[in-house]
Amino acid sequence: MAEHAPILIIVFPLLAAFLTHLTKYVKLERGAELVAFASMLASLSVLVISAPAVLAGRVISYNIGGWTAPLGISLVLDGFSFFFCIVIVVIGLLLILYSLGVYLYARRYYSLLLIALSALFGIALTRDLFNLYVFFEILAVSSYVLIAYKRRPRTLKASFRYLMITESAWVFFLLAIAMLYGLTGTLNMDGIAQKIPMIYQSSPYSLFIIFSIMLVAFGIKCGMAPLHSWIPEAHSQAPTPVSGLLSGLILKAGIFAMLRVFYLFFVGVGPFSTILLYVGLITLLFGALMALVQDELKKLLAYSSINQIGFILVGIGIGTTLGLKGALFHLLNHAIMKTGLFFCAGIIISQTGFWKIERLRGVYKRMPGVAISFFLLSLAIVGIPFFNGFASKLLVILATLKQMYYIPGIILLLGIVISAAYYFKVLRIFFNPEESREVHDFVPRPVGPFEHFAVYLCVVFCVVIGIFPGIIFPILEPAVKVLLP
Amino acid sequence: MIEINGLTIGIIIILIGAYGILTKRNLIKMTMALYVMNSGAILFFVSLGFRKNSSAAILGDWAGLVVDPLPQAVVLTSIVIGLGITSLALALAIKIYEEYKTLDTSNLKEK
Repeated sequence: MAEHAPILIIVFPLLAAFLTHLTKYVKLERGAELVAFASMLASLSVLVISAPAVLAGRVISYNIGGWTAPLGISLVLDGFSFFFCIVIVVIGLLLILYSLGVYLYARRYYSLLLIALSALFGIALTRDLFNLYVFFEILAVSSYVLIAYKRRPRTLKASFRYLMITESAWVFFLLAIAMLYGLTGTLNMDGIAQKIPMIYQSSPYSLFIIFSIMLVAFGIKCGMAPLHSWIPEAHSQAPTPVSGLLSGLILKAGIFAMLRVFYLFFVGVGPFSTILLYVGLITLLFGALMALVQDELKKLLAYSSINQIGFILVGIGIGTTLGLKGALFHLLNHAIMKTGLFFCAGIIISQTGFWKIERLRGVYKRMPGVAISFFLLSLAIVGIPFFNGFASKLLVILATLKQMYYIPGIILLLGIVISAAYYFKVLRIFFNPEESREVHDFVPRPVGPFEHFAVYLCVVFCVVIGIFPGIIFPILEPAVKVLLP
Repeated sequence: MIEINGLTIGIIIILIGAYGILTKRNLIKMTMALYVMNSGAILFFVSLGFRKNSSAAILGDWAGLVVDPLPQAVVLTSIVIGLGITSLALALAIKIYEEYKTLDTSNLKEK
């Protein structure tokens, strides 16, 4: 069982994606939802079964079709991909749980969501460069359709813009793969990594070109500062669970692939971590300052995602074990916190019909549970002690100070202060004692227990990880050990 | 002197497509430019495996040199991906036209 774990993790959601369409022939209430939930639980159980071996440092590799490494495609489950798989499973279950309450979503929606999740598992596990490209394209196509799911004019526009920006970058990524294949004669990542020092001797400039193309391609996926322009529109226009998918997992997939590829290929080559450090600082400040001036709730959350991505990039850019640990920890925390915040925003918007923040005055009287969850989650994302954001931000800042990067450390603190400013601006309006009396013709959608349950689950995760950050370290440390042995 | 072969032509086609995406304001033309870019990358990749005076790598008559079969296999997949992306972009363009009655990006006002 354990030796087949890598393929099984990908296959379960992919199989379920097609089974959801068949549930209309079965007399079963909400069959598609059941299939979706069961497939994620199946992937989770495979992960749990393989956990003891992987966390002990063993690497489970699987060759598709029995073709061994240089010829075939190999899937590898090591500590790092295990960590990202856990993030995908947790967020995926939360997304499906939230979607259960919304009767709007049909079989097609669950099918697309499952395809996206299985592509994410593929990104986490594959060791073949072209296979990575294919999984990213599967993820991208399903996310374009999911963003445009409601077919409102602005969602269509956001989806088209996302498509144009990403695909033009991924054409260049295909070019970079072709160049690497031309230089090394293999597409297997380990095989390429072995030949990189030799290429660095003979033609360093081609490696620099490949590095910059990959930086831009992954940077567009993860929302680095000058390449972020698709994020605010897509995040704010997508249906709520899809905003959670975009912010919680698709941005993280860019960071994951960047880490995987750069640490295999470019460790000894150039100052790639220094570039990431400064790009991360720009991203952090840019996202924070842009979030300050937003007047739409979901756009503010989208710019806050850019801000937190900057934090993660800085943690990677420091290049030490401590910084990397903080960055990966923040990756997990941000996925949970931001998914929870988008869920809160989705419930509030579906109840009031207002997108603008100032019209949501006194919303806590109508929805006390959601407003208090929003309050706790924003405390967590700002980094108040006893919440999970504090632990990971502390690790990143300690890592900067340890490496004598004092000015970046100060900028990180500045970013935290600005993020506190814009979240507290929202909270002041939410908890205003006088309620907004604005009336407009809007029929609120009934919100069921599942949506509230998903939000409360996010809050519980944040508080538990915040008080006991040690429970994450058993899966965090093997992940860091894979990258920096 | 730059040698003119599949690799250089592939790069030139990619740059033509990139020019189209950056300058055109019509959704259909942008989609076409994207597909042109994709074709350039495909030509670049498939030319990597090319060898002069060699035959296809099919079992049976191994008469001397054969071309590298891996780029051809890989390129098939990326042609399919390009087709999927293009058709999705066109579908979105049709839907946008139905909503806004225009394909010009500068006329897509907030609605």
